[in-house]
This record gives sequence, structure tokens and C-alpha cells, in this order.
Amino acid sequence: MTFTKPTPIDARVCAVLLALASGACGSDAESDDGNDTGASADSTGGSGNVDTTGDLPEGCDIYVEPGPDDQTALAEAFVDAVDGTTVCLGAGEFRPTRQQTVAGNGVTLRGAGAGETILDFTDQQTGGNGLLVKGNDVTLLDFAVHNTPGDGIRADQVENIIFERVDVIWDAAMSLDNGAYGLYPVQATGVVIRECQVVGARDAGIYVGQSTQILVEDSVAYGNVAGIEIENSTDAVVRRNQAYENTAGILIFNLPGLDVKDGKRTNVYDNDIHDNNLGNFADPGTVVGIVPPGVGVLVLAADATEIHDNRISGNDSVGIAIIAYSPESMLFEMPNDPGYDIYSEGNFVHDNTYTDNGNDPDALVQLLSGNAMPTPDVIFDGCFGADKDNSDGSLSNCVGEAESVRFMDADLCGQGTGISTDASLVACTQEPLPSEIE
Amino acid sequence: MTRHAISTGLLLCLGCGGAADGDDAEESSDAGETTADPGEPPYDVLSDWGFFEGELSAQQPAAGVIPYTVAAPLWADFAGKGRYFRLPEGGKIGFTEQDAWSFPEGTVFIKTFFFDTDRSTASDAPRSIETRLLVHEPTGWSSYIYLWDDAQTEATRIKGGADVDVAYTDAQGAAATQLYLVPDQNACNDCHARDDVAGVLGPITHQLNVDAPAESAMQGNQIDGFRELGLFESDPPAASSLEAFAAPAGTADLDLRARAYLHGNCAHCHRPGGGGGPSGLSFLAWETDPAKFGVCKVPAAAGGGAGGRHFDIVPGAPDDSIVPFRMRSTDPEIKMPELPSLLADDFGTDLITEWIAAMDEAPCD
Repeated sequence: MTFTKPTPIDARVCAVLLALASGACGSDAESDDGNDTGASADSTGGSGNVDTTGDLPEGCDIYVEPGPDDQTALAEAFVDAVDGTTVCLGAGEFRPTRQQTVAGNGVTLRGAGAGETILDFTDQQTGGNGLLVKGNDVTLLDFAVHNTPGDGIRADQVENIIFERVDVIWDAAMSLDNGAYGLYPVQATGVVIRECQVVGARDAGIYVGQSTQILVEDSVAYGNVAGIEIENSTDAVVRRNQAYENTAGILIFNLPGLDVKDGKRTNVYDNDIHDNNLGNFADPGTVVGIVPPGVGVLVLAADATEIHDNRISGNDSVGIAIIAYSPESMLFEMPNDPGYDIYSEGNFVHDNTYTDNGNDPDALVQLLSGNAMPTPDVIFDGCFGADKDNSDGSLSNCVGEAESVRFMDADLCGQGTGISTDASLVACTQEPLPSEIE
Repeated sequence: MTRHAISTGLLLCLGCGGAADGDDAEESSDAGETTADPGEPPYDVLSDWGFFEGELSAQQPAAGVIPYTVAAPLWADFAGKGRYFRLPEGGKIGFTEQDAWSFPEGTVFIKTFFFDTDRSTASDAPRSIETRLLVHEPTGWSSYIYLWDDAQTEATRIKGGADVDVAYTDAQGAAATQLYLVPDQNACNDCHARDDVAGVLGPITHQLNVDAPAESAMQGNQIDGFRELGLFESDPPAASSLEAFAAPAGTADLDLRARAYLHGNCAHCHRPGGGGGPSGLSFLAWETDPAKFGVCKVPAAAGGGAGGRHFDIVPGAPDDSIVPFRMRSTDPEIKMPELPSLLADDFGTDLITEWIAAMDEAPCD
């Protein structure tokens, strides 16, 4: 492992030098004609606030503090962060102007705390994300990303990405200028999101897409359009999170047109999902932009989801809805993707606690429920693939809730016997999912 | 602007702090020490690679350094590009008719980004800003970036990128400046990596099957010229029998020009295994399924990039299509390509708009 030769001058000394010696150092004799490219080059080392030796904090290979040129300091630190490097970020506010790329494998990026070390991307000029993680086995700890124009932290096609005590926050509530996704692992194998917080995302706060082996736990999402979304993903545990005051709390989606299809086996348990009644401020062109406010949990075209032992309250449209991606659900066009299964199958809802849901339903949800007031706690659209073999019942959506829980099969596809509120008709069980991710 | 001034000042300051006297700190100390041992590659300065002979600023290729060009170049905020490659002693190119050629270990690709600093006259007044290298090392392709000095005498390696204010005379003869971003080294693979493996993008048959650039010693078609030079492991057929991209600004069929443009500007990410692969969109020129190259395709994770539009391409309706909307934007969340440019390519956006408008109108719903 090699590191940049340390710069002998730190940022503070340099600032003093600049002030004292600006005549000798700072002026550019050739710039008087206006042809200054601003590009006078120094050596490859050092923007002034990177330290790779000296008094490194324990466990750190590279240490960066906020300084006058955070963009260069961070970029150089990440270039130097070859495999296995721990990059530590000091307390304070960094102001990068571009997307930062974490390319090395086994890199750890560690701040001084999500409330202490803040990367504020308000001045970002380029890049669709604040941080882009491309290396495998990367661990992100104890810092915050604020105000990215695009997504907060994207981890693209990686193995074993860990987010722990990482916040992504947009300061402006419900702003159309906020980025779409907060924590955004996509096509990843092995995802851990633990004790994180996302606030203000214009699409999904915690958004795991086209991934497998996923654990989202003890995290908080509020003020987003979707609090937590697991999309086209398989084998996920979503537990002990708080998803509140979003447009919708938790989405388990399968969408058409993607490389990875057929998401299944998300185990959603022991979450607090409440008061998700925020107006939908997503871009109208997006799928999440269609989701009506007031939804606790929405399962869309996903299979073998288990939703149990959650506390679901105060969601004005509906507690849990399970629907197909079909025109009958009145939300979607028929997708142009032959390999895509539009139906939600084999999902199992049981032992959740419901309080005060469905009291002020959105018009779309009223259409779904036939204007039931309040809307039932749990709604199925009742659509299924009629040509499939369900002789063993594994494709049935099942409910095992207390008798007091209000249920509706909306029979939107006309495949049942009409609208029914008889939960005994869906009182089946599915094989419980593992409570841990291996 | 203030911020850039500060960052430049800081670099100058560091240069000054390292020098014994403060008198002429702005001149790189490397410039006068041509006899010093340059050490191992990647060298600190561009001249140590020996790609060019004579004055470095002229970038006259040395023996074995071969200029080339591509049919459908990537837009780079008005920057022009000088392209060269150097094979190792005895090294040969592995030819394939479609997609990436293979190059032996030791190959270096060299690309200088320059600006015409006087756009009011036909004659060029080029100023080199940066030279990027892709070096085929034992571990794979590595990227290195060299930033040219104001005097155009040397380019020095940087890792963290740079913001460069480029001064020029605009077409009307007025003084103007443009901010140009030299990427940081890690950003290279945002475009150059596919399935986590870095590689070159331009050297494919479709892109190289054009006449050699004026600065080349070769006449006529490049692939034929490379063959005559004996650069291939086994000789490809005559270039005239191979596929070629249409020049996007040329006179060929609109569909061919648009697909070539999309390949050159988008397909490094939007293809299976590319950075934009998870979107499901593929702009490979040889993709034949319209749904794959965006026709009536719903966006996967466009966020604000959709701009209220529902499909990547709506045939006959460019205003309803996400693709030209994103090409025209300069908002970091919306704009495509994401990196590294700051400015929209009006020519390319107009071309794609025209292409979509010319499609037979068909609603996607």
C-alpha cells in the first residue's frame, strides 16, 4: 500500500503564508492579459487538508479535515484510498463541489458522527450522487451527507456494503429541488443499513434496488415520499425501523423494465409505521410519484413478502395494501416487458397492530376500496395470474390478523366473487421467512 | 469564482512553501530539471513519458505514437481532443468486429483536451488543458491525468481534479471565460469501467473505421492503415467491408447518425454492465430492441430526471421524451451524461430531438 507523500504544510499555515506572501506567491505574472487558465499545477500531493502520516487518529490511514478546498482534499483522499484503506473525516462541514467516488475495495469511510461530520453538497456542480461507492466490502460510518442535488449515497453493483449511523438529509421540507434517493444501493449483494436516518428525499429515503441479502434495521425515515423502499430485491429483512410522516412508509415493489426482476422474500417486522400522510412531492413521471399519501405499507407486484408484528397507525389512506402492477389497480399502464410478472403473490400479513388507519383516504384509495370509510386496515386488489398453478396455495396472499382488524379484497380484476371484507377467505399461512439475513 | 481563486491560490501557496526562494515559485521546479531521474511510471510530468518530440506544446508524436480519431466523439464542453496510442515493443492489437479491441499490457492511450482560445477566427489557437492517460498495467487499465501549465511547457500529474477557468475570445471577438472541470482520477472509471473492469472506450471497429486524422502520417482509412503498419495480431478484412458509425454531423441517414451519437455519448454507461446498466436502458448502436434503447420504456430510478415525463422516448414526441429533456439540462440531478461536462451539447440534443420527431408517431400508453 502506498500513500501520497505528506504535504509538509497544513492548511492553516498555508493560509497564513498566503496572507503574508501573496505578492510573491499568489500573483501570476502571465495572468495580466486575462489568459489565466487558473490551472497552475502543483505536485500530485496535498490540497492542504489531507494528512496521511503524522498524527493520524487511531485506526485511520488517511485523515481529512474541512479546509479551504474540500473538493480537492476529498477527491485526493479517495484516489489514495486503495484497497483496505480507512479514510477518516474530521468533525465539521465539508463543501465538496463534485460527486465523490469511493473506488477501492475494503475501504472504510469514517466520520466523527452523523451530527459532527457533514458533507454538504449545496455547491455541487456535477455528478448524479453525493457519494458513489463502486468498491466491494466498503463500510460507511458516522457521517452525514446533506443537500445533494441528486441522490445522496449510491452504491452501484457492489458486494457487501455497510451503512452504519449515516444520515442523508435535505434541509428543505418537501422541496422539488431535493434529490431522489438518500441511501441507494443498487444491484448489490449484501447490504446492511443500520441506525441510519434519511430525511427529505423526493423519492425513496432508504432505497434498495435490484439487490440481494439485505438488512435494514434500527433506522429512521421521515419527510420523504417513500420512507423505505425495497425494489426488485430478494432476501431482505426490514426490522425495528421508524418510517413516519412520509407519503408512504414502506414500499415493497417489483417494477418492469429492469435487469433484475422477480424480487421476493422481504421480511418486514417490528417496525413503527405511522402518520405517513405527507403530500406526494415526487416527480410526476416516476412510479413513486403515483403513490397516494396516507399509505403505511404498499406491496406492488412483489412475492413472498412477510409483514408481521409491526405497529401501523395514523396512516390516513390504508395500513397495508397489496396490489398488482396492472391497469385494474388504476395506478399503472400495462408494462411493456414480457419477462415481468405483474402479480403480487404468496405474501403473508399477520400479527400487526393497527390504530387509526384509513380515516381520511386519498381519492385513489377510495376508488380502490369502493369508498369504504374508514378504509380497511388491509386491502388486497384480489388479482392473480389465472393461468398459474396454485394447487399448493403458495401463490395465495394470506392474512392472519386479529379479528378486530378490518380487511378488504377489492376484487379489482373481477377474478373473485366481488368485493369482500371476509378475512376468513384469506386466512391462510405461508412459510415464515428467516428473521435474520445470513 | 471566488472559490476557484482560493483553490488556485492555495496550490500556488503550497508550491511556494516548498521552494527555497519565493521569487518565481509559479514555475514548476520540474521544468528545468530535464536530467533528473523521472522514477517509475506514472511519472510526475507528462514529458517524462516521451510521447512527444520537440516542443511539448506542439505534441508532435514520437516514433511509435500513433494519432487516431473516432467517428462519434463524446461531447466535452467545446474541448477539442488529440488522440494517440502507443503499443509496447512488439505488441499487437486483437481485432474484433464488434465492441472492444484488445490491447497488450504496456499499451498507453493518450488524449489531450484543448480549447480554441480564439473562436473569432478560422485559424486555431489551441490551448491544452489536460492530458489523460489510460495505461495497460499488469493489474489492468489505470488512469492518470496531467494538468498543463499556463506557459504550455509541461503538464503535471494531479489526482484530485481541477477547476479551470478557460479564457477565450468568443465568435464575436469579445473576451469570455468558461469553467472547465478536469476530473479527479477516480471519476475516470465512472465512464471507463464495465462490470468493475476498466477499459478503453473509443477503439472499436465502428468508431475507428474512418479516415486517419490530418496529423497522422497515414493516409485514408485508419483500420487499413493500422493493418498496413502490421499492428494487428491477425489482419482484419478490408475496412470497406466492416461496419462504421455515421458521422453524427454528417449527411448519412438520420437514424444512423443518431444511433452513432447515442453510442458515443451514452453507451459507455447505458449498456449491460455499465454504470447506467441498472436502468435497463442500452444505447449500444447494435441494440435492435427499441424498448431497450428507450422507446416507450418507463424510467427505473430517474427521480427528478423524468421532468414529469413518463417514457424515455415517445415516438414522434420529443417534448414528451425524457432523453432529450435530460440532455438539455445542466442541473446535476437531471443532466445526462452525468459526467464530466457542465454544458449541454446543443448539436447532439437537436439531433436526438430531430430523430425522435421523425419516428412514426405512436402513443406509449
